[in-house]
Amino acid sequence: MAARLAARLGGMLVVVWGAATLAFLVLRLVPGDPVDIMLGVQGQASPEAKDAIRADLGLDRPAFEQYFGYLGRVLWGDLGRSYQLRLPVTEVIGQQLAATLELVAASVLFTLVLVAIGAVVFGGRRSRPVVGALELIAISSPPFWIGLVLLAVFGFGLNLFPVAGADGVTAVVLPAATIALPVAGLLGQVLAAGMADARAQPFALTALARGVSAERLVLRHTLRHAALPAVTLTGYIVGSLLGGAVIVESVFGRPGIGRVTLAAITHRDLPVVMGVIILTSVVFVIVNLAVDISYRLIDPRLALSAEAIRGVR
Amino acid sequence: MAVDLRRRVVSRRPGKRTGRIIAAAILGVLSAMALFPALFTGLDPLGADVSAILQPPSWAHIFGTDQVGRDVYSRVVYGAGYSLGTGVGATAIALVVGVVFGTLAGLVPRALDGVLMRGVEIVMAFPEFLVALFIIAVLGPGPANVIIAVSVAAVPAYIRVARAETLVVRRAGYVEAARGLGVHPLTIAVRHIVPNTLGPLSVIATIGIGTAIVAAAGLSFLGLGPQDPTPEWGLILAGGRNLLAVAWWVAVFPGVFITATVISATVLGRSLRAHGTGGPR
Repeated sequence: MAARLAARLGGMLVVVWGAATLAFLVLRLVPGDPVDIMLGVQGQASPEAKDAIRADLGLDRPAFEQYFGYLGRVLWGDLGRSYQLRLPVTEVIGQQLAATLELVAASVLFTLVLVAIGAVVFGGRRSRPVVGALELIAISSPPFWIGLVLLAVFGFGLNLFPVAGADGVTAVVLPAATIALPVAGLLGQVLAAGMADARAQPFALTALARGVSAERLVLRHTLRHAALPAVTLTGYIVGSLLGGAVIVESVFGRPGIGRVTLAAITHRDLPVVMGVIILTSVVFVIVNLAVDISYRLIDPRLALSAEAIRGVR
Repeated sequence: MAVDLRRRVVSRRPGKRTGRIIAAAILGVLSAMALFPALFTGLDPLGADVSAILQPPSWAHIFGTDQVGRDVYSRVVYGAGYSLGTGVGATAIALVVGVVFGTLAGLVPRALDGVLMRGVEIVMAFPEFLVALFIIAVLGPGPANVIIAVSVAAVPAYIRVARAETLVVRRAGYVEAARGLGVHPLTIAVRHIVPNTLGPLSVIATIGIGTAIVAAAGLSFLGLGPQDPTPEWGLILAGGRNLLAVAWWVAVFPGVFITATVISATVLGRSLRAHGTGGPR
């Protein structure tokens, strides 16, 4: 177990290192002089001044030296300085973290509520096709369009929620619902498929033969079985929360990491872009570790012989 | 990655035929719109009409008009060409690149394969949409760069499937036989291996067109793709965002088209898979 975990951790560090390297390569590949990008269109500077900035940033040193210097700084949590905002990248991201975390937390809550409603209230076989169709629509709709429709109906139409900004609890409702709807649709589909699969398993028949009630069968047995593929999706979902934040924050005019990312991309503020790449990879690694651990808690068979069962799967 | 995920849920319900026929019909109509927009509307998608600004849907303008009096329906019809073109183009690029690298990964020595697949895994750690955004950050905004960004974001999934299929097919008897006959490895790859990996790939590509259209529309919605007068679905929606208080129709109808396209592609892709995939061979 410990050895496996260590190997897993090593593999995950490779992902972060790979992301950092990719980010560095990206910066090197970008056409145009970083100093010119920094100074902006109006920026007038003498060649001497530009050279001074270049030396200051270490851009005049050989590529491999820059690379290792960069890796070393990343290791100590220094992601460089934003070209545009003239602030450390960690500060730029850190200032916006709370707003995005609020959005993510509310989205997760909404997702769970929606999935629970779909499973419990409309869990019967008869309403399944209807729920399935709704899930398909939710998954297939572009997130920015879901946001616009929610805004049109609940913001402008019914005047229930503010149409922009991030002040107060009500401001987070529509953005979070925008992110939650497709995610809930996806989870609902996977969960439904998993439940159908579980009902066909021998253990379900055994439990029924023992006289277990239908509710208990779902709660104690099949839901647990169906949760495995759903948990696998967690990594994807957290990723889509980050990607969704970019769109949702701009639809609803909310501050947050997504807005910072978009601004950095349009202004080609590459240190910030690299910072977001590294942050994303770290989140990915942590989420996957958590997923891996929760597998064992949900399905005790995995703890017995993880490799053997994984091979069969 | 969404490509992979929608694939997970295999519908085994009967009566799927109607769904497939409707999906194919919708895609057929949309393709016709993309190719011959003039057949579907007599109005100019760029033609501003100051006497008819922000008209709600009516018989003259079934989807209403926007802030400069352009007919939203004709903009949506002409937008089909941009959006479907981008989606199909990006998917085609991703498919070709994915087949080339995936087949190679399945045939080269294991060490090289390992390096390639670790690279693929690192890219797959990021949500597709973020990858596309990062590519735009490198290349800069623009319609052509949107196609490239969306295809790069989709490629890892295709590489993975192509590699997995190659690993299966390369052990087949006919490949063994061709090798025994001394056929050149490249010929074996092109004539015997690649054609037999295309079945599952065509399924994820069908579904992938929908994903690519959403991603591309998302990028243009953020202002990173084509610029204003262009009737692109994502861009029309972005314009509609600012009109939401006075004209819901500008932001609603293009989205209905995107959603219908994606659903149709997904339903068609799923039914292709349910029917054993692979087309005529």
